[in-house]
Amino acid sequence: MPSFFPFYYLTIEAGCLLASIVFLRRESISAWGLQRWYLSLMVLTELAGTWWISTQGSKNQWIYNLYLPCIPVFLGLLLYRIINTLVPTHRNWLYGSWLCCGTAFVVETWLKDGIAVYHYQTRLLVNSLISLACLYYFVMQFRVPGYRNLKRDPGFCWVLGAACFYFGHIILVQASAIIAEADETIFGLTLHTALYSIILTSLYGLWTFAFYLQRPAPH
Amino acid sequence: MDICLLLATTGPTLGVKFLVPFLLLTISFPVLIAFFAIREHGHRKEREDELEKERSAAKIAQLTTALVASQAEAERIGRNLHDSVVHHLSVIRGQLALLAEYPDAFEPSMAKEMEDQVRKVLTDVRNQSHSYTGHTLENFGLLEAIKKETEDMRQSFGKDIVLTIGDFHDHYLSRSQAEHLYYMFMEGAHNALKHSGAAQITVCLDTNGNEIQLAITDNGCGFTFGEPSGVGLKNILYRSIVSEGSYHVHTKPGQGTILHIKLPKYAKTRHTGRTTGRSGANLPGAE
Repeated sequence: MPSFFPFYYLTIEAGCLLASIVFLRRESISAWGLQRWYLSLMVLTELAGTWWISTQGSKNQWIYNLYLPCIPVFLGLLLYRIINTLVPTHRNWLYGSWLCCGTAFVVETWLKDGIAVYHYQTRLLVNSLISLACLYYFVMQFRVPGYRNLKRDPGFCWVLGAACFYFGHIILVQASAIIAEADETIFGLTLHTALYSIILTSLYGLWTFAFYLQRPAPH
Repeated sequence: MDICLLLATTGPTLGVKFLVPFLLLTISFPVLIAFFAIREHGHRKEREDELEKERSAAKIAQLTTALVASQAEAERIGRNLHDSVVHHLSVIRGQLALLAEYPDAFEPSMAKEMEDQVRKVLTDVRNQSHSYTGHTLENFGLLEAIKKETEDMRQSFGKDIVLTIGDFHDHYLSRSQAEHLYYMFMEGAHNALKHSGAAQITVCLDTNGNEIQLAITDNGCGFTFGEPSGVGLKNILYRSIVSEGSYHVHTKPGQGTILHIKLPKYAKTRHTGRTTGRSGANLPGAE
């Protein structure tokens, strides 16, 4: 069962990548179009990480550390664009968040003598910034006047998926000690694995739906 | 109480019962916010739909009013043409028929009489054309248009029409209000001239606070006033509604008639106590 889950994660990630390639093929170099590159990078990282640990037998955290800076860059760009369509937002917020994440990454690399050990603090900062941006977007949906069909809005669905995963990931990481102490299983899965699977499925499920909504209209 | 202690004392089963729902609830916090956002936008859509329905209903009512007013106007044009032009042309036709039958009976005075009749027809048609197309109103303003129309009516109907102008300037009304008031004046004055049998008709145009008031009074036969059934009164009713004004008819059989029309002053000139110094040649801009 435990070996099933890397396969499950890879499958849903690959499914989401396929959806982005199919539905966003006309987006070129826009923030939406870059999602195809981000998801490709993520799938490659997962494949590399799985390959490394199964063939080399040693820790693969350095691979995920190399992938870590890509998260605020790609996701930050699209989040900024989605929020900007709702309420004018200064680019300095985006640049500032990149600066914070970059600084945290460098400091943690220096403190941990390299990238062999996973940079949990940087990851926590990235998760927090993304969650705050998503929360800001939701608040603006209440404050900005006018009606929008949110159920068919690609930006809303994408932000909801990101909020579910990154907020949920913060909770899971902070509660990991308690979850480990509980040492319980749900349908044969450890509690952590089950909850992580739920938030990961909601992320890629909502992102796939968002890409579908963002597809070019038929002529 | 420490959650770990709780788990240790209560056992793993109870820990799962509390922990899993708590974690699921916490993780689903974004979903809850999204749910309320979708519901809020649903309410906004309902409100926008209701507003749109009200706007559509108001638009339909306004279009209906305009249509009825146009129909009433067309009927009045037909009536006036019949009353004036047809009469003169009938006289000319009679004279020409006589000449055709008795050519020896021709005298120069008959030619002069026919020429006078034709001139009257031309004058009538030209005057009515100007009044129906708002030519005078467009070029000279409401005040001058009313003065000119009054003079034309005196000459056409041979009645004593007294025009009294109080505190009124063309810029007190917007272009569309002036147009409506002009046609209401035409309708009221023509009704008094044709139906009242009055020897004297008084037209009074004045300002009372933020209202423009037009009163047409005659000392004729009066009538029993109920719901407006005649074309002319319907026209006045609808124009008063469209221009956000009102009208009242005070009449009794044998006691003459007072038609009282009120329109709100053009918003930009309210409470200013100042005039813009415009001449009557140009009407204020459209509202």
